Amino acid sequence: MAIAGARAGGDSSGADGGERIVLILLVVFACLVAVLPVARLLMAGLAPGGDLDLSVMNEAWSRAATQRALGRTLLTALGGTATSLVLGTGVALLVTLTDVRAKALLVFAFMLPLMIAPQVTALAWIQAFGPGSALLRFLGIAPAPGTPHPLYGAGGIILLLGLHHAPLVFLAVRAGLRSLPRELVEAASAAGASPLRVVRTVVLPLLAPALTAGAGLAFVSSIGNFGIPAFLGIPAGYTVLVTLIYQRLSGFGPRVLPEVAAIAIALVALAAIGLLFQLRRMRRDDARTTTLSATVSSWPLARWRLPVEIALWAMLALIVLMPLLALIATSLVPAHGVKLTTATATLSHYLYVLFDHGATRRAFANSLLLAGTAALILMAVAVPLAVLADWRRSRIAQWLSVLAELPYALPGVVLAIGIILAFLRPVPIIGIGLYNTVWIILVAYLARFLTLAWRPVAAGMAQVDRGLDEAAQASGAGFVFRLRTIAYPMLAPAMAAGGIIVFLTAFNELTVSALLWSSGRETLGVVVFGLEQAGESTAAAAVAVLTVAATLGLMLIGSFFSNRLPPGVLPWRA
Amino acid sequence: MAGVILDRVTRRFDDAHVAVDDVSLELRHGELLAVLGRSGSGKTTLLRLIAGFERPDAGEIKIGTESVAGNGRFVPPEKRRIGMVFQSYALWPHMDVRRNVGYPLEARGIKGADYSGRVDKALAAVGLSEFGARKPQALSGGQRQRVALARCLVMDPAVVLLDEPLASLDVDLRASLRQEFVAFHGSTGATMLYVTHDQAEALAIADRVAVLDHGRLLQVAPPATLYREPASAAVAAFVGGGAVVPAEVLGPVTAGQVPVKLLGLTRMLRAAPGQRPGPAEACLRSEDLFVSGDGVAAFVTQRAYQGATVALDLACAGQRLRTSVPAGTIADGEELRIDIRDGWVIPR
Repeated sequence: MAIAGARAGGDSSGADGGERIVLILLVVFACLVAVLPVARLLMAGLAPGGDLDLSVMNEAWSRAATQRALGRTLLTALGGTATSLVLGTGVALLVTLTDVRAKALLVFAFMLPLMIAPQVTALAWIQAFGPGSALLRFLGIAPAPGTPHPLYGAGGIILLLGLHHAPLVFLAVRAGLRSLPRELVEAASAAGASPLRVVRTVVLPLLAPALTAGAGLAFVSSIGNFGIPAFLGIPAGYTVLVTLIYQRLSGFGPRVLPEVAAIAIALVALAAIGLLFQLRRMRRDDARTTTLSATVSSWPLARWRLPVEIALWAMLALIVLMPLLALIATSLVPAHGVKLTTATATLSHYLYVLFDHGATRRAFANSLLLAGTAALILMAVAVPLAVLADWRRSRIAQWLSVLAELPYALPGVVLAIGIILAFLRPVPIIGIGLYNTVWIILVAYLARFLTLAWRPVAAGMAQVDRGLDEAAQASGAGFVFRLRTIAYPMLAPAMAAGGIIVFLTAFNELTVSALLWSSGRETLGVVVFGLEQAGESTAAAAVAVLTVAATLGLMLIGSFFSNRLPPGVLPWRA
Repeated sequence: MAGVILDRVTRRFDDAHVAVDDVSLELRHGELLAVLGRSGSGKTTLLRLIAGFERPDAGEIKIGTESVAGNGRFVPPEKRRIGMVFQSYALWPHMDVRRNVGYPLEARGIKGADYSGRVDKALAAVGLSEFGARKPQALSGGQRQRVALARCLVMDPAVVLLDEPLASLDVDLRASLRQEFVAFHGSTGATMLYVTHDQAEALAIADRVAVLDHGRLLQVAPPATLYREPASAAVAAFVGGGAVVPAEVLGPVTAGQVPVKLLGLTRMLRAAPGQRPGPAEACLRSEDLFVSGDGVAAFVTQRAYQGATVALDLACAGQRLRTSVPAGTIADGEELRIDIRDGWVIPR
């Protein structure tokens, strides 16, 4: 087509001054928050003196503790990935291919673990299945006091990593199913294959790229997860790489930075392997290719429908509802281990964490400030980035949008160490020090979540005719004027969706802030972790319940506007 | 005064594909020029080069007296004083009709009475004065097209560029909007470049038609000239679906006519002055042929009933010809004799 041919031609229309300035600002922004920290980390571990020098690496990796942590990281990540793969694929097949009812609610419930912070999930499971479980005691089936918690150690970590990342596999598989040509499935049915045979011989083989990608994503997320091994591993002395880095850095301070950088490089390498698996799928599966609403027709389950539905909801009750109820129960009992009855129930922990406990009050303020600021800045940045990369065909902006994936794909501790290394000393020229302030966490959030804000905007952009921008240009409007009058208003819903996702993720975040917080600059994640470590489980549960409530509220607000959004930008929408 | 001048303009794309190949073209002031070509012929690229959405790899483009591209100079679209009508209309759904139309003024910082006066005038010119407060989504396809035109008009542009403006409308609406374009062009005197793949549209509305194929300009001429005197076999075949057959020019041109031997017959055809005797090609239109006992034998390969007439595909002396005869005048036989009443010797 003449138009397609013309557009393949790349950027040819001249950029005006405003456009150049915006592009330069974006480049500076991306270099500062994404490129610099990763480069500093690689340098600290591989070339501390400026030249390649593996002595730091050798020293760090000759320790038995480091090697053991690597083995445990691999074991828990692979086990967690396998669990996610089975669970995510199974639910995706059932929800997409069959006529089970209440799909929207099923998807929402199944996505919940992804949106709830891992440390909150871990805390909830600890409360649900431990000897002191208020819920199990209420039901009279709690393990005997004094016995070790059944979830501490490798098994519990694998289980929770698997549950927490199953939604990632679910999303990848569902996207794969939706782009599956429906004729291929119908041809197999017409050839006389039963639905189970069609799934086994046609659907699953064709889904191989999606399964690989989902598994790669779950693996990368598992090796980088901090909340789950911190809550379930540290009490049992079961240390993985991420918790090892945390323990050494919080125990010895910045002087062990070269050593933890050397350890973190192993995480970079493992993440790279996982990312390569993801790349085996078609390049950059953003919402453009995966949100076709026309799907493979669904098979009637007939008399199996009710049993399947009961099984699905029972599983969701066990893995989503019960831990949350346990968390709520713990937050309502006067002291850990007391049985929850109408007589013992109390709201005192909520009053305590909201009004009396200084660190929690500060943490609420800090997390709101950080998540809100990060969401606002990234919303503002995502639109010009997407406009330049998509409408304006700027190669540089296209590179930046790929680069923006890096800080999100890498484990959070890696980014955090890189940011400490990059901003430990005051920034040259402006001379402002970020270390030991709340702003260093903001820098980390900006780096890590840029791609979360960008993806919905890019998806929304694919639905807007590029001619709308060209018409404005032909009308005499310069770049900045067009941003203001065309791009921002037209992309506002997608931008808001990105903002909500960034806010939710940052509000619940622990991995990065666990390494970057300083006294008086706690985040909610840090406070929950601290309260639990100090044995104040009931207060920790109260804070966790409040964050879950805030998360659910925001998810529902997002859903409320979802008919104005491009399909697929809110992961929890069916 | 010139409207737009393209001087040896070339535009290549990444894969060494030449979309616009050494095109020189003058769009005269106040003229409606149609650029006609199949999809992939480079016609949209040509329009985007003039608009400034593409940058030429070679050559120069002038709008009015100002050089806007070439010789290291490049004026971006927003500085070119162009109006553009997109196939998709490209109306902004978040603005009402008035703001859509007034946007070019807004972009130039024009406010107040000047702004509203000019928007009112543009809306009145396209007959949409009542619709200013509507959103574009609430308008019909034809009305949206007129909003897009009003948006062009409001700035009094040096040239209006129209990119297949009727392609996304249904057939009924097309014919009436085509007439609106002609009327609009007549009443405003705007210089217009109209890109289309539809030859009926191009021949019906344009002052001149430029035929583009594989990025090359084949011919620029008024519609009647293009049809009656195609400059090449490609134009003859593309415009009006003429048959191109080998021919032998037997003598010199006198009063525009020349004796030609073709399909085994010797007949007088039209030719350009200076056409030399010797081997040549002739363009035979459907209406140039008629059934006659004096003619040459032809086989009917296909017939299509069209109401008053029947269209015939013929094989004749190894050539494929087309003609049409009044329905019911010839029997269902497969063989008949045809003669040549007129034709055009393609210049070389």
